[in-house]
Amino acid sequence: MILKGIVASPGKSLGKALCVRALSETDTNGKSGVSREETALNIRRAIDETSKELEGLSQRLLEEGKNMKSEIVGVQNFMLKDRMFQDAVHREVEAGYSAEASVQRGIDTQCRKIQTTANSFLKERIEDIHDVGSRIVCHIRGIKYPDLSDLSEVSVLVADEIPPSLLANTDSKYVKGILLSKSSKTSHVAILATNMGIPMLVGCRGLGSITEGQTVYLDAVSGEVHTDLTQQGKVRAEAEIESYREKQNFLKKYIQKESVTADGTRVYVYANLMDARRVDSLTRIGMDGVGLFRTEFLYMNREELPSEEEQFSVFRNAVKQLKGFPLTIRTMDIGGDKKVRSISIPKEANPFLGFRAIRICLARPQLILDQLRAALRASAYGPVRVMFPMISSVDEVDKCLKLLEKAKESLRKQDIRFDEKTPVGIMVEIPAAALVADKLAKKVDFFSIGSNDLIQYTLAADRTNEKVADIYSGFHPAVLKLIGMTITAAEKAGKGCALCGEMGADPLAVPLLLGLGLRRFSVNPSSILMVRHLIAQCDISKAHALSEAALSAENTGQVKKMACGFVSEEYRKWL
Amino acid sequence: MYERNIMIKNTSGIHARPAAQLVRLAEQFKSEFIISYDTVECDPKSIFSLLSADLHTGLTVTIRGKGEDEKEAVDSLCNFIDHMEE
Repeated sequence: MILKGIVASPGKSLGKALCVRALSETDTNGKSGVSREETALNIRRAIDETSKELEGLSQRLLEEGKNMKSEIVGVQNFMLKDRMFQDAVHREVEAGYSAEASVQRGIDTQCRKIQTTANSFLKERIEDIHDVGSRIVCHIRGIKYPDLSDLSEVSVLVADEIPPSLLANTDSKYVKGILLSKSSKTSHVAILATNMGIPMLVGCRGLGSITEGQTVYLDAVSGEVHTDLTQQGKVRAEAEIESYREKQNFLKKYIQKESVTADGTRVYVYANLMDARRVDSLTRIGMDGVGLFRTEFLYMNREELPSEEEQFSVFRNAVKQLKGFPLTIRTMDIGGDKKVRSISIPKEANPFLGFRAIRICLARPQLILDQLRAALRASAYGPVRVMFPMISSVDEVDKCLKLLEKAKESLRKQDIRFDEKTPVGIMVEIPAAALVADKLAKKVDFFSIGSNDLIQYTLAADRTNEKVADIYSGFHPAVLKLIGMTITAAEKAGKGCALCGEMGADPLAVPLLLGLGLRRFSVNPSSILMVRHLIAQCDISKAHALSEAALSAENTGQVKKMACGFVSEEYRKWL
Repeated sequence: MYERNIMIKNTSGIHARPAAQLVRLAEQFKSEFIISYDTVECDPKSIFSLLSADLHTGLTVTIRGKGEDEKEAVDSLCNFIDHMEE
């Protein structure tokens, strides 16, 4: 059988299906529908089962020589049986809460207590405590706990949705693919998977037909999953994986090469990054710098905000590894579909139109001042650029610049070194910003077009809603017009303009973007070499004619057709 | 009741793993214990209690035991803390 999905992270792989049922959050206010005795009994049974599970896991990890992991699991077993924890849970049961809610409340209480200590060794254990809670809740619900930290064979994860934290704790050596029925290609999980080089499909229908342990062939290039593989099918899949690998090998000729179009125009290809640990692999293939360094991940999987010191050390580390190439640090873009525990955002009817990114920062300036101080301090070690997301008006830019000046002033007072001329830019991802780009260009040093959001806001199509996925498209003439306006405004003001959304790595979009005047692409590391190859196939003057025609097209379909007709036979191999 | 003072000397204090070992040890005794310093008190038979007490390096704590095996128990807990490494 062939299942279809949307490619969220490219690649091909063959592996055994591991069906993961991610946990939905526990309602901590849920009341029990049964007697207290029965609730208590339920919990006792779940704790006993969890304890057996942890003992087994600890033993197995020990036998595999993973002593450290085994010990941590052993500690978790102690937490489970802890009298203080059990007393706390008992009190919640007495107060009438459901089994799940009582356990979760008990866990939360213990975490809060440890949270108040200043000990960083202990804070690292908070995740382990939450993990204990999740395991118990799973036993209460009678479902299998999705444990990805302990895989022993090559697996393809199959789930509705998985939280980014689950993937972050995974041993990527064994996870060779991810299949999700929900989620989207611009979700955080997708970004994480792409950065980890794990092929992934989202919005995949019919995943329920895949059984645990079944061998599946995931083709995250065409967006297909092949199940019920015959011996022949497996052989064919292996051949396809091999040919994909060859294509990747072909691209190796672009390693350490500058990007130049067929007619000799220099184009810059930057990397989108969120993890300084990946700078290493980037410098190996060579790039022009980091065009987007995401900072949301500094806030994830933890209770407290990242300190200035901690952020500084992450930024400095990245700057040092980049050896003279610029690091574009984007201040945090939390809100929308990205939630963190340390910043509470009240439930909103429209999170993407709500309290998000710079809007949170302007309301809570200390958040961004910490980031700005950390970024500025890193600028003493190499080129840093600061970028503000979700800008909708000149006023917001003024406020941001004022905060930046405040951060600078405080550093000057403390005699802390930084680069006074640190370039400042904004993301152009709200249509309003594109429409007043000429005014914004006077205020900042550079733009970066965030095509993911620009598309969703222009077309009013939620990028995480698969039902409107066909509306969401960068090839809509309206989107192209806004992109064109932004590039032109930057050019007129003598400022640089990059594009850092998924669109920059879409082979069909590359000639259009070049035609619109884009000379700076910022793409996922896995796409850099391909984009370099595609740029090398394009002729600027011809691309310009294409984009002119596209701007006067009627609809998405026409634009795509024009672009398809434009590219060469060889180029089409990459579509 | 029997009590003794002991200083925590290892570099990272009583963090998760040593805490688990301490619980394992304390549970072998019939006595009940209180480890205290300043206004903080904790129960070495509970890992959560130990962890939230933040028993860090350089601290001198009092271990108080009460029960039929209190002397042997407190001495043995002190001995454990005295020999913690890492």
